[in-house]
Amino acid sequence: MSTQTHESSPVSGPGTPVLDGPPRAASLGGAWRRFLLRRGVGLVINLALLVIVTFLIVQLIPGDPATAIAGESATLAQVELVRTQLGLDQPFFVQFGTYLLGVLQLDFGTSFRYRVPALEVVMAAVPFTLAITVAAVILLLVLGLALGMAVGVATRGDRRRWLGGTFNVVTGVISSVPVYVQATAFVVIFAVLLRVLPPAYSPAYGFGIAAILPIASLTVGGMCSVARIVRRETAVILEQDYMRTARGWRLPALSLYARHMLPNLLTTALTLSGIILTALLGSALITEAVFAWPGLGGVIVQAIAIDKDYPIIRAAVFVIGLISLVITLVIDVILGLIDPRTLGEKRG
Amino acid sequence: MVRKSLLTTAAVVAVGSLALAGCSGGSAPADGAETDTINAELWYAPATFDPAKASATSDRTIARLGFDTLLRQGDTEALVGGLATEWESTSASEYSFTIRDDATCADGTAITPSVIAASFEYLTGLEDSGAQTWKAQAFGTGEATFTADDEAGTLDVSLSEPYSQLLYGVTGSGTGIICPAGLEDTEGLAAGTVEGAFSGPYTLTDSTAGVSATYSLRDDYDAWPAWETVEGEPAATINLTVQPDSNTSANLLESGGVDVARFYDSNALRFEEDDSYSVVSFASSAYNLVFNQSPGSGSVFEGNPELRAAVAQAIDPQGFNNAGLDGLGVEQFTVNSASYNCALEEPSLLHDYDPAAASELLTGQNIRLLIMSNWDPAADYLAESLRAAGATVEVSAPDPADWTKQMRTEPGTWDVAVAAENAESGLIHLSIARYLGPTYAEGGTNVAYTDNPEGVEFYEAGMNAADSETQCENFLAAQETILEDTAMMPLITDTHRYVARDGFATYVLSGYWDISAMRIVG
Repeated sequence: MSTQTHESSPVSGPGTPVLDGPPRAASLGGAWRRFLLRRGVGLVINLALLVIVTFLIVQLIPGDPATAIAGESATLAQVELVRTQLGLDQPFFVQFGTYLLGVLQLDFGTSFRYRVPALEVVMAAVPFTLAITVAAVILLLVLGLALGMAVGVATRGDRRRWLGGTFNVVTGVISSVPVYVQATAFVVIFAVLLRVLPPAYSPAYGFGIAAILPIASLTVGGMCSVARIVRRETAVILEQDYMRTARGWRLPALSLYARHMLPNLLTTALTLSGIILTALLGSALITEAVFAWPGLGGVIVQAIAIDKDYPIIRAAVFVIGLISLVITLVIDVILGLIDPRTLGEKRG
Repeated sequence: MVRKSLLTTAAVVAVGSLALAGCSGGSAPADGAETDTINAELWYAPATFDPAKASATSDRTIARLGFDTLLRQGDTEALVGGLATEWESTSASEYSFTIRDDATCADGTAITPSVIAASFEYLTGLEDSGAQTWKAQAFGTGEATFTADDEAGTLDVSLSEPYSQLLYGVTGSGTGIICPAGLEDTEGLAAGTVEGAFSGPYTLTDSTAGVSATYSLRDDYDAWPAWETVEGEPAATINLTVQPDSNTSANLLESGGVDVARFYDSNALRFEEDDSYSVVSFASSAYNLVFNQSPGSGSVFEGNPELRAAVAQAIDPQGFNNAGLDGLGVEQFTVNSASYNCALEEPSLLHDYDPAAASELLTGQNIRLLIMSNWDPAADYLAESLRAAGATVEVSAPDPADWTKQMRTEPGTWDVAVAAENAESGLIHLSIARYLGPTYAEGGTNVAYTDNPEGVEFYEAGMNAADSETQCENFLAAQETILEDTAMMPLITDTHRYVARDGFATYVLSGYWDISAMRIVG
């Protein structure tokens, strides 16, 4: 915790460097600069690797794009015509150079299938994917915190052992079930049997109601994982001296848990949510297939399995990677604001 | 600490907002009596809104909504008028059409013979694989000349090489007439942004690439074909979303999320006994076993008709149907669906299932079977049938694009292959040409690498005949030569079903599912 860091001032002694001026603000600012520089360089390197690896990987996808695009009735001459039009007859390094030059201008090329800029197709789907993944992360973070805290408080000091055991079993089972299985189960229960929610996306339904099951299926497993960790953290925090003191002062429960315990849990929960969101982007692509959700999943599956649409695949992988990297960076910045120790500097 | 509290508050507010949005966003789908909209699905996203460049099924489907063709497939007879009211052929190279005088483009421009000629010239002049396929299906392999007479209201089509299938060819959605506004802005045409380009009943009013398309009925459109069995009102709006999963389609249809859905598997059976749904079926693909007879390829079937016949005896088409198509396919007696015009309709030329007889020749043979990757149950069935007859079978199941490429260009890598033939074009000559005539390397489409001069003669006679009776006689004779030589073995016709929920109707016309014939029946 930042409060503890501030309170544990270094003790001067022989060989200890003498600090000039107001040491804390200056060193914190420097730490931030070095942190942002370090992470900025890392981001650029990661993106460069992403661009290069993506170019190389799509070459390994089985199937000839020209044959796929030309269609089953095409003659060989028509297939070769398509190959020329797509630039696939060019030498490897020419294709790579053209690709790199394009990417520098955020141009991933024209979609083989749609004949429009690939990034345009991908960006049309991104909001749909982000709508369910971001909502799911917020929900699993908040609900996981609430559930973990509640059970942690209820079972502190080895109280209510049945609750702790039940909690462990239930959350363990749920978090171990793959997201696509949960999604299918939700469809069966809420759409097919109970008929209270739509089974999939359709213009016949409102966007909000169609999003409930996809968000729920992405939320439940992660929520259980967060709750399990938060519960353990809660148990540890409740044994801290400052919490004993707060309880000794008979502070109201809301003040005790919301003001003194929750902020200390946020570091762990936020770190975890960043990892979960990155993983959820992968899960969302599968979940979208279950719910016919018009996000990146369908675009990528069609691009790989049907069209061999290299520009779309490259643009989609780049965008997903970029989202993941940026979110990780944002969460690290937030963690830095909450707890400067996470900036990676050995201070004091 | 203040920052932490703010974060907590923000998270709670966000979740609350989401919950409210979720709870307030929905409404129950309307039934047919309450709506003027049809919600339907496409398996894959359309790639282009230019009908001339349409190559995938979804492209062809949406082209039908926006662009009218000269002729249409009919319900009580094979052909009915579209933009043409009368048509005649004086030979297989000379055709004449009388164009209706009341048809207009979406921007009000009259659709005259000159407008149609300009659209055809655009199609035939394109260097695009989709356009070249449409050109070949509509006008054959030679050059086509279009002569328009706006005063007389006629369009004459003259072909440099005889092509007897033109009248059926110009029913294809890829030959849909593009109005002058579309030809002036071909990029906008492909993107669907030129409203004046549309000649058909609907205009594209909204689309998101890879996701959805919305079509709106034109107020001034009154050029519907004279179908006699199509009843109900055309939808004012058609929403098309991309949804490839059959289970999801069935769930959406049951919940009212879509009004019409296409099924290729047993999900269709969920609706067949239910009076709340109507079902129509049509041939989607024809599955055939192709024997590689390429000289010097090393194929065990080259010059060995007895061995080809033995394979045909070793395989039970119904078993293939059960393994690969949930038993939903229908019998097939020739190169394509028995429902095709001029297709053989009885099985007398097929080999009876007789694995005992087959094993006499197949025992000890090494056979390389080529099939596409997503057909594991069918591949297993075929391989095990041949193994049961004593053959050693090596199965190769590449990606569909590689499978196509291998069959066409790498005859040294396979002995027998499963070929999937599109069964929606209605043109039998395309399927006949898979098993005779020039190979792909020679500019043709003969995937069996056969040498069948007698069959070629019948095929060409059918292509050159002006009257439909002579065409059929020759096309039937060509099919007989193919089957007598066992150049291929018909397996099964993959039959797909369209299911409409109560209040909506959809129609199959002469074996062709026409999206523009979807109706609201209240």
